[in-house]
Amino acid sequence: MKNYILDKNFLKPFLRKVMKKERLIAPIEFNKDIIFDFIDEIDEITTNFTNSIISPKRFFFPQSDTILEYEKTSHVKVQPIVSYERRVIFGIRSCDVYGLLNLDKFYSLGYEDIYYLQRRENVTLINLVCSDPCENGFCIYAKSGPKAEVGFDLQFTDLGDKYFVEVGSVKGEELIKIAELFFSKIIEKDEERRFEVVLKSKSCFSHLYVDLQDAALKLKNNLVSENLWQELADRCQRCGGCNYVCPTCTCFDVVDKDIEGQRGRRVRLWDSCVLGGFTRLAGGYNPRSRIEDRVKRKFYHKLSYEIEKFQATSCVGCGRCTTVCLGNIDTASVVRRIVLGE
Amino acid sequence: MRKYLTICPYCGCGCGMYLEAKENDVLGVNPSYHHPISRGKLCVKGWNVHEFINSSDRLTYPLIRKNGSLKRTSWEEAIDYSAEKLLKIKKDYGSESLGILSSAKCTNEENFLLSKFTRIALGTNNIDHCARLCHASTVTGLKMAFGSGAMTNSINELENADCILVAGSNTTSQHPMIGARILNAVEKGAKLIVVDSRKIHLCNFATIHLCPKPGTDVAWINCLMQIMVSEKLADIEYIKRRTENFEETRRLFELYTPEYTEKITGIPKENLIKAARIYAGTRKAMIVYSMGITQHVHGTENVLALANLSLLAGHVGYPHSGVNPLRGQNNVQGACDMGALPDMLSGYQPIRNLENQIKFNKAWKTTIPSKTGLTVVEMINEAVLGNIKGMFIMGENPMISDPDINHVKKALENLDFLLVSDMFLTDTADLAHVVLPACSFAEKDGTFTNTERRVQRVRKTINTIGECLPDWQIICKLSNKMGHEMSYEHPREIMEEIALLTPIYGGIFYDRLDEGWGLQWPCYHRDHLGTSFLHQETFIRGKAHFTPVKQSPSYEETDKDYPFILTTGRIYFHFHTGTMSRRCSALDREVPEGFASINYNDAQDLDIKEGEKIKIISRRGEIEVRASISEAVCRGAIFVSFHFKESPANKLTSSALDPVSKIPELKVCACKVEKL
Repeated sequence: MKNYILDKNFLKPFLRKVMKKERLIAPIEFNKDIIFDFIDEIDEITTNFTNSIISPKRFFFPQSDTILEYEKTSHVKVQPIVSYERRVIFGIRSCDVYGLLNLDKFYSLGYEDIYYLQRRENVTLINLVCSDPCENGFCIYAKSGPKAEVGFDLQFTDLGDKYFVEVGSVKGEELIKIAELFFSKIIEKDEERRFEVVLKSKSCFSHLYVDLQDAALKLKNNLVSENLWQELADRCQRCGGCNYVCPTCTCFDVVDKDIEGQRGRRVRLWDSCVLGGFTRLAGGYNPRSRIEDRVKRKFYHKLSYEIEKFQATSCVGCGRCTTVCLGNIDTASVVRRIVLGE
Repeated sequence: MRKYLTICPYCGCGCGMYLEAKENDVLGVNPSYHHPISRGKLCVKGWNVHEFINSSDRLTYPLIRKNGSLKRTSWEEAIDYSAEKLLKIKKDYGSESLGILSSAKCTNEENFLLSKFTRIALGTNNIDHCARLCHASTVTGLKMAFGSGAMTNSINELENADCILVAGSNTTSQHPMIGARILNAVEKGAKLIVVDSRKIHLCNFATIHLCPKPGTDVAWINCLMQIMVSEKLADIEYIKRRTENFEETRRLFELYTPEYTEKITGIPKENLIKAARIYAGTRKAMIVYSMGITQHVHGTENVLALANLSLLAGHVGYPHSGVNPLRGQNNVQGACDMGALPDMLSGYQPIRNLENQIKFNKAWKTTIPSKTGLTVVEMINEAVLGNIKGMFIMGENPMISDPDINHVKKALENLDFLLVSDMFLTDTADLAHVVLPACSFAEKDGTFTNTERRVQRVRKTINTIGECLPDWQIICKLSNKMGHEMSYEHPREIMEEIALLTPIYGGIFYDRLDEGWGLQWPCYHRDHLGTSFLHQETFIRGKAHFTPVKQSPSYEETDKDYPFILTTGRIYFHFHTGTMSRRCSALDREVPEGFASINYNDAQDLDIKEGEKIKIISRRGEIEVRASISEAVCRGAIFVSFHFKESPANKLTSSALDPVSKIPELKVCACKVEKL
């Protein structure tokens, strides 16, 4: 695929043209906090930001999502609600691009999840390479950043006064065509600068090596002490936050809610495997009634089972669980403890 | 959709969050990363806060009782009828026959207005709210000892403490952000002393756990002081320079030797000695306490004892060290600050003080009543007797939350007129003559004050649902109809009035709140940056006051007919009367019904199996509830949460009051358990 240069002065003009065609989603700064949101005003967009707490996963798999409406008449009428809106996400980070690749596999495995896949099909992703890694991220060890190798439609690298633009797909190429006039050809020096920006970024991670592979091996071979799970269980506050913010967590609960009269809607909501209700059966029996079992299962799933299923861990190293965890038992610290053999 | 930083409506931590809304539906939540309390985190209730807001059973129009049942009506009729009834009661029976329950769930502005309404439109000081049921004894106790009844320190200071003494607070469950700070402190090497009659989660991290018999707190606290004095661990110079009345107090607590105290409390004397040495030996030592200390007939004495303890060690008046009552509701601190109390105007200005009366009379162009009004439980008692004839209950649910519910029901049914404003048709609203649909926190502007005295902006994210109105507008409508003009365009204007009349809020204006993460009172003027910890250089009352306190019995002791001690409280997944949390599917799925925790040995004696329905009976009522067999409660004790109306713990509890603060003894009552 081709590469281009976009002068920074023309980023917003480009995105304005994009907005005219498709719904634009981009990071906005509120009180220094970053949130990905639908853009109404182009100047709301921020380009200098550390990643958001809630990943752009929510535009494909929202925290609560009405999947159908029904009417309880003599024969029940059901109306599925699928979004076909065409969207562009600007500013997604590499970790989240890899997160989506992970969700793609899960939601199309065997059963095809139309709610997710339809949204996914209609989106174009403009990835922004992290030239300044975030405090808790360890994407570099999860092989999902700071720059993406696959998964993006366009990838922007900040060269100071301009962006180095890589095209990753036909969708990306088509997006450039919306405003081709703003894009110019690259010269060899630009390639060098892009390389140096990424190299510098790679040298700036605050995390020491988070050895996901070794952790996976130790889990697979049952080389982890049961005491570790007990200690983690003591520290887990059952907030569910690690699951909610994880770009690769896929689980949801389904509930029916009344609208009014005979009408109702079926909603799916983010779920969390650290909650007891997650595995409790209808009769009340819970195969993982103890929090230590649930925490253990969570880490086995993230770090080990996924390798058997998809040949890769489902941790993309975004570090969000480090941010949200009330008990400091985020993936990075647990991996470290597993590797050290605590 | 614009996003606005707002504040979680559950506990007193006061987490910053953004609500995700589509059209007028709140679909998700986003914690604030830079907010000093949430720091990107939320507890399970916060993460699921979006679910109750658009619940299909929200009240969306006013209701009026006609022919015995509640029917839809217009705002006009609801307000006209309510104003007419309240005026008629006032005319026929006098102002003192009216009572108001304000709400720790509502904003400061709403509490201030309701306090004003009570004083100017009804002409009474009969206003109170649920703080009476949780920290009334803190407000009285700490005010007597230090001059202010609030947390002496800030939440984040906990992380740098050397020692944290947690008494009667299940912190990780009830104040998850504060619980997390405690875990962080322990990780950094702080000593943790947990004093709780239950084996709470924090015990897993404790250096030592003292497990007193419920209701014997003064004894162990006095004993720690006795040990500190006898081992010369007291800070004599601090006592001399910063406190008064020490010698008299000393004479009393010196009676509590470890041997004597072991007999009363059941705490082994070695543990008492160890705890005293840790607490006195560390420099930055925080006391954190909550309902386990306050909800007793001797609640004020418990609080005074803790204050004595901290003074003896010289632990108050600097960062990372002090006495910290954790307030349970999002705005229970604020509701107290705003004078939704029968004896105080906003900012704890005593109503009996003539200067305060003059100031408020001038501002409000009226004569406010000077006689101290009735507290929550007293209003209920007077209603049963027929002396309280009319009540307005704003966003509280005494039919679940107050002690001795059968008695509460009798009281509310006995009223000539009951007006309730709420989001849902609660058990209390169900008894009302008029029910007004109120907005949730997501539909209104205002401020909440969290447990560390931080006044924070609550911002409207969605439009009002149905015909709902924010409570401040409801109060204005009612007041205007009753002939006392209240015209405010925005809660900002109410805050300006609060700043004018309330010294500790003197510098709190919306433009300042919008600039940062709120302001911690006292904040006396516009240039004042707020106060992260209290009593620097001098106590608010001048010198701190030691008060001698002795262990007195609980109102109800066990006997052969009622051999168990019942304690009540909250659980992690639900909140108070469950009107919000039980409408969130994740929380409801987690704990769908109430349960009674019973010790393994007691269960075995009574042949009770896990999950089996049992009957718990007290002198006031009985409930049926599932048993949860647990090591967390000690032998002879039963713990029941009060969230569930199907098994309402407060049918059992007693409304015996602490004579000073009028807090009921929700933590101890005698009961028996029967197998069904």
